[in-house]
Amino acid sequence: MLGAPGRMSDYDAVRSALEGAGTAREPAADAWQQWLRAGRLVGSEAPALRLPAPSRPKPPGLGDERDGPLTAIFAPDPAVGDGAFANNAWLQEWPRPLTKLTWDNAALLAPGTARALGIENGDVVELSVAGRTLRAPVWLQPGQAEQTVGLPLGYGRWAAGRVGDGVGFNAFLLKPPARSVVTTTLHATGATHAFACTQLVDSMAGRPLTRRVTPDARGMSALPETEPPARDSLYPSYAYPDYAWAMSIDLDACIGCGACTVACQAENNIPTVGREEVAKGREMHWIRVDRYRTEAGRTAFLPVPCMHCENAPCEVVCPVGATVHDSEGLNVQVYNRCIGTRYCSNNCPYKVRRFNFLQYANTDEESLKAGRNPEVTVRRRGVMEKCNYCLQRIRRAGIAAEKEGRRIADGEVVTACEAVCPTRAIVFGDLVDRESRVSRAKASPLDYALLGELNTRPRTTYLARVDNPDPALDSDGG
Amino acid sequence: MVVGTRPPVSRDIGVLAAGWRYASISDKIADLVLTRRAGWRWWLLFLTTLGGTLVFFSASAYLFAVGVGIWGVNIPVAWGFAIGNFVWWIGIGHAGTFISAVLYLLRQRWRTSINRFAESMTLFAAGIAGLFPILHLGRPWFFYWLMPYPNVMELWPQWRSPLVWDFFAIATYLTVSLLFWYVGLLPDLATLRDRATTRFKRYAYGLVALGWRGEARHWARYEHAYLLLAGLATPLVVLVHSVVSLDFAVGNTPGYHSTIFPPYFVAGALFSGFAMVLTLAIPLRRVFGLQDFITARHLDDAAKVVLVTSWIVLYSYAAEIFTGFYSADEFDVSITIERWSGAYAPVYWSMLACNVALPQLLWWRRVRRSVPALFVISLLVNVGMWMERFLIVVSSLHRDFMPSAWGMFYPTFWDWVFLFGSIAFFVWLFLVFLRLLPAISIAEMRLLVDESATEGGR
Repeated sequence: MLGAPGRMSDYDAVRSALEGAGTAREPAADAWQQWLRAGRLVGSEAPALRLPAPSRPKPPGLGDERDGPLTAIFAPDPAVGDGAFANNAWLQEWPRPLTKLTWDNAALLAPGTARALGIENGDVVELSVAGRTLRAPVWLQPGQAEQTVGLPLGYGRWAAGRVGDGVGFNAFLLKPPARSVVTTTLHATGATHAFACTQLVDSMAGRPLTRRVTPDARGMSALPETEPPARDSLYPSYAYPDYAWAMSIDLDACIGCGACTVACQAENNIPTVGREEVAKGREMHWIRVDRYRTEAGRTAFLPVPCMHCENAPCEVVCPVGATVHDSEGLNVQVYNRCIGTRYCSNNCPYKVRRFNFLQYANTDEESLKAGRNPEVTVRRRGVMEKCNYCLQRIRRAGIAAEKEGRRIADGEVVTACEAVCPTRAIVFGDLVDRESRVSRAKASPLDYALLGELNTRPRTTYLARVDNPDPALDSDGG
Repeated sequence: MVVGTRPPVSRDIGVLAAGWRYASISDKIADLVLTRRAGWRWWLLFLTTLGGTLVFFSASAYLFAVGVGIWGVNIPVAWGFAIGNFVWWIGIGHAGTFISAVLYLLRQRWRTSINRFAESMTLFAAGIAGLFPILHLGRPWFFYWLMPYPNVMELWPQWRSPLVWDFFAIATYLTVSLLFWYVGLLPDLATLRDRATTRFKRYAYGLVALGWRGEARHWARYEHAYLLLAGLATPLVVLVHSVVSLDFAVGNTPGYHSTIFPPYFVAGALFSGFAMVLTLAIPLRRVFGLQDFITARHLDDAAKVVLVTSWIVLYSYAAEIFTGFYSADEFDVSITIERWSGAYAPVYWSMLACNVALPQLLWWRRVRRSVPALFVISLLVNVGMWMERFLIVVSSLHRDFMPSAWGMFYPTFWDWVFLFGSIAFFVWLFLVFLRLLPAISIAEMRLLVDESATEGGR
């Protein structure tokens, strides 16, 4: 029937049908164009329902006044659940998604509530429920409901094992059976507690690190018009005849869960360093998930692995050539050659490099050996390390491809963070292949480079979040 | 030389008091080494600083065994006290060569009586400075990988790194300073050999005097060698600290990345170096009764250098602030404001008080001629310069590009052990030097006697 004489073309059929049926009103002259651009028949929507203002269900015991009684809310901890995983050092050292605390739980208070109570971050308070008392340190958590105390369960265990014993406080001691929400009172004890938190600053300090765009008439672009163009480097650029590995991280998809951090830790034999070392700022995670709070009160997540810069600042300053550019564009770290000047870390604007300040990897414990990835070096003290795009996985795929006399196919190399990401926010692949997923992702107008003005030309780039143009429909991003 | 049989007698020329002859000069200075007995105060200081030295080396052994994690360094502040101490010490190690080489070429007579101990100070300070980058390494036993040595892997240093330049600069500086110092010592070592009271001393000084007999040929060659070495050392005075500053200026960290750094560091080095010269000269002349040689004029001149360099340092601070804002680079602006009001602001304002405000007292001649005032100012200038090094290294790193990575550096017990241990080691070396070698150049002082007698007072 296609192209049969005397018949309407498909295009004309669709157009005439829509112009005839789309809206009750007479379509404007360019209505067809507008509809195409908007992707919907403007004016065809059902009238909005007029609903009463939403009323939040009131938890039992939650007072209406700000100075009323507090409500304690017991919930499984994001890391250790009800305590079943308390003896897992990876999880203990994993920064909790919203608080970025490690090796601890905390009584979570909204900043406003804490201010009213005269309590500051780190103050140890005594909570009472029906005659039972519990001492717990307070962590101020924007987004926590006012007049509530969040009490993560699963800590304060005494029979969890060598890792989990004595970490945090046991909120079960306060929790009535079969109830997760109770009224509580709280007063400061005067003591304070030092947390091991991996991110000390919540604000982006006005820097466009995570970006959100709203589609408008211009279309969508994550790049502001003031973005300086890429400049040349003093050093000649590299040619990549074979592969050029790259990563794209979709901030619209990222939910900040931090699974990538632990997956990377398992894959790459990354040691845990313990509470005191994290408190000193020496956690070893190769990919971290930054959690910022914007002026509008939104929470924004930004996973940060190594950027594998084309103009890598770290490579220039290493005196012994321990961090070098490889033929596929990876910025690789040669552990054997590293003498630990730490200059590379100073010069890394993204601060993704991690240093073995002490002998973190336990090489003596026989039982730990079987748990390690045999394809990855266990680092000794005094050497720098960082994300290498799961080099071992690239090599494995490369060997397999070479045996079969073909190129590595798109999707054949999956980094650990990509594999574990529940929302598929991370895409890894080859830029030489123009049709690869990562090439397509980077062709998006949403693609932007972190701190692009430094002209580091990162291989890891981000896709900006897209806001719904209708503010009423835009979820509060969480 | 004066023709005649009677040896010349010095007249007061400001940098040397009147009434000194060749023989009395030799007696006075050589006796400090050969015959003067060490008092209990010397022994007390010697044993205290020896204890500190042992602590320093024990701490180094512990550091090698356990790792740099015993310090407060972390990510983002991966460089801490060790690099700050390094820059501080190498700065102190600049005045000596400046005095002995640059002032020598400029024919400044006031260098004569202070050059020997200032050069020794330089040598000790630069030597200690050279230790810190090695202690600082994650794997210090591989420090020689910075050297281009032949190896089967055909691995060379990475020449784009300022740390490699630094390695060469310091090695060159140490070598030239040592040679310059030793060549200058030769006539005096022979004097000590000739006046030695015991057989052991005669042999020991005789061995290191390299057969110096005071022949005219010896003197002619000595003068040539000394002049050439002075010519070699002079550019190094400017070069070494410029290269040290490139460790920072080449980096992209806001607070490091600044073109003012090379002259700024050189001026700061002379500033702290001359302050240290004053710190050492004041007790030295008092304890050993050397007021005739290290006169009020010397202290006055050194104080003037401190004053001038404090203004260059002030200019550099101002230039850094100006360029920070003029660039309108948000990272530069942010670190500048952070220095004024952030976590390390008390250090910043104390630094300004010590390095900028306090030296202005030296405008007054009364202050420059007051020995206690000079001593206090010189000590505080050194404290201020240490704070400056700390600020450059630490405060720049603790807040750079990514707020999520911002952190704090808190010095640990071990950080302080290495700072004070290195100071103890420095003082100990200086005390040993005072007992083994002439603290003032005998040969050059005798020349000064001659000059003062022929030229007369000014």
